[in-house]
Amino acid sequence: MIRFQNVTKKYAKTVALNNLSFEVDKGECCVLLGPSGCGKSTSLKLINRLIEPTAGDIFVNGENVSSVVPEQLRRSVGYVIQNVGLFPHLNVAENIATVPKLLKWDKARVHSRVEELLHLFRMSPQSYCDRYPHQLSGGEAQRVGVARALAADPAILLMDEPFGALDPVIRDALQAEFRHIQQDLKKTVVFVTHDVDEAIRLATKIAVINHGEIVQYDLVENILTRPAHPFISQFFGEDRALKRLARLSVKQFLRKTSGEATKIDTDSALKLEDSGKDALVKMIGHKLMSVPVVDDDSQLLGEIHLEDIINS
Amino acid sequence: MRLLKLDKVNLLGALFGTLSLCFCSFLIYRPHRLAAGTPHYFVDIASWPESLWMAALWIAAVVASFIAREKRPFIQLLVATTLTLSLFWMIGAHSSRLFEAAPSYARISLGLGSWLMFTAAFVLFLNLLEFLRRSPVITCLCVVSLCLGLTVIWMHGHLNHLSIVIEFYNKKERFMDELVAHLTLAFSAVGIGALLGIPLGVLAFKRKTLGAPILTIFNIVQTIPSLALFGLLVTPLAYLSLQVEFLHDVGVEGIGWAPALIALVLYALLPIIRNTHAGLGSLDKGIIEAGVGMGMSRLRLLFTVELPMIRHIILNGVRIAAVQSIGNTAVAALIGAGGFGIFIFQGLGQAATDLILLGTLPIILLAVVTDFLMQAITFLAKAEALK
Repeated sequence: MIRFQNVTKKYAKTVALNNLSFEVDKGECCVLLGPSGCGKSTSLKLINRLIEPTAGDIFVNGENVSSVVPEQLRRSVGYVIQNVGLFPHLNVAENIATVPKLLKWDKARVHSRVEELLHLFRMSPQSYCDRYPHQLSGGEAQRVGVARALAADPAILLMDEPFGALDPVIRDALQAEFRHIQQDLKKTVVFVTHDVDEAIRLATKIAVINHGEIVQYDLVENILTRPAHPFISQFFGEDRALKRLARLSVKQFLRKTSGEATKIDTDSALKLEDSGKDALVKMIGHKLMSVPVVDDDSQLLGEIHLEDIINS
Repeated sequence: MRLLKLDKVNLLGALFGTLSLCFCSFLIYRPHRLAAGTPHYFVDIASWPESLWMAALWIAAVVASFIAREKRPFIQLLVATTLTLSLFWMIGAHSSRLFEAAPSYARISLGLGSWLMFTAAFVLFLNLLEFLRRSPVITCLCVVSLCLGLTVIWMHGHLNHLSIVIEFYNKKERFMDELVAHLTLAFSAVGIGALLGIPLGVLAFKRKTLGAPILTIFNIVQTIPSLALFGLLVTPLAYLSLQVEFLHDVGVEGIGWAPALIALVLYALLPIIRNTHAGLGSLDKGIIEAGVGMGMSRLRLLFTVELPMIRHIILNGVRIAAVQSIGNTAVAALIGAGGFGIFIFQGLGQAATDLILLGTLPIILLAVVTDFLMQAITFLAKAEALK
């Protein structure tokens, strides 16, 4: 869906990006991860031609972006930036309607699309449509920012540290919401962040970038278990095993109980949507080698064993 | 304590007014137009209830300076309105009384104290815009009653014995002509200035290489004294008028409205260009990037995002240009462009103070009213979200 082919970007004497080649498949969420100044934002802006490469080609849907009129290209690609960039003189509805208006949709269609998107982000159109950006909380503003990027239903979404300026609690909620929405919409997402946890949480694949070069580009699982370079082990930290566990569902470790279902009621029990890390936390907290897993009706489903987690 | 929140400017104005009432001449009596005057003090010529009333009003203005902002609009505005109307009424009453006992060619003009009290009363009105924001109904009522009161005092002929009013009636038709000339010249200069200045400001911002030269040129223009600029334009325009028949036909000459208008437009440009330029520079880069990133064309971005967001800043530049233009137009009378400057220069020539005032006062009044109206418009134009 998106392909970088030997892309280089130079500024005067510094090389921002050096011979970058990678590909993002349809429906994937590709996270560009790296320290600040590594060139990840530059890579993102090359896709919608906010920046032009010095050498190399970028293809979107098999078409070289340099052959597409920039405005046309940008209208077909959603774009979310860190400080939201909502237009302060326009209300929420008008902000979301920006791209549909550029595409000259008729009023009724724009209107219904705005309502649909606000519903998607669980914001009621009645109370939010007429509000101005300064009347929104940081989290609400960023939701509107994402909704605006999704307005014309683009197949590709570019996100440049969209949750970077939010406080941890709200960032956490928005990440969860984004994952949830992404599961339904299956957009091809290129997501820039310097936050390792965010990358692990949202990515299908991570491209770790340092000094304008890709150090490793692989599925999250592979990067965590088989880091290709000391820089990656260092960047992801000693606790990367824990981070990986946080991504894994307890379902993977579940040893099903045979026999009839029993109802148990204990606060040490896990639920199916919990992660491997949650299981470990329960084991340590309750000094157990194994913990039970229950469904929503507290029916026992099986057990998680510490050895399975350690051996995973 | 919130109730005792001091408004220093207001207090200064009120004290100033009180002192002027007590210690400065109220009216000046001259046996004829060119004679030296004898001052009359308010306390000497007014009856004691009148003195008490005026003193009470000024003291009320002093007290009003101490009342909390939340409560002040009503009191302060009421005091200021009553004061202004009373002042006009007293001036009218006492000038008429003095006039009755004098020969018909005697002149009665305002003394220092009266002028100072008008200035002080004006200071009390300085918060008008804030009043308007806080309690629009009361403010409008006060302004309307002030205008009505002044009209009644004027129509009643109450002020007719003041020398400046006599001067006005002597020149009434001329006055109206010059009013139209002054307004036409000043405002067409601002209009043209805005039409040229906003695009130039945008250009100066978007093309950095042009920005510095444009701003420098108009900065230099601003430093040329208005009289010099008018003079500089006379010769080239006279030449052009002789060479190009079309220009001659539309009335362009070395003197008259053409050089005046050109000079005034040149002066009006700087504040408008500078505010447009600075306004565009003050915009959040993220907002611009978001607009471009979503596929807005440059023009679309300019007209739907950039200009709407800075319209109050541009209007503020237009306001400065308008006030400045009204003042500069006075000088344009010297090159035959008309306007209130005519009276000023006639008065200077004849050493007739009243004639000078007949030119000066309307200019001040126009500038103050324009300034206030433009401030109100600027406030309303400021996008709701940015207030």
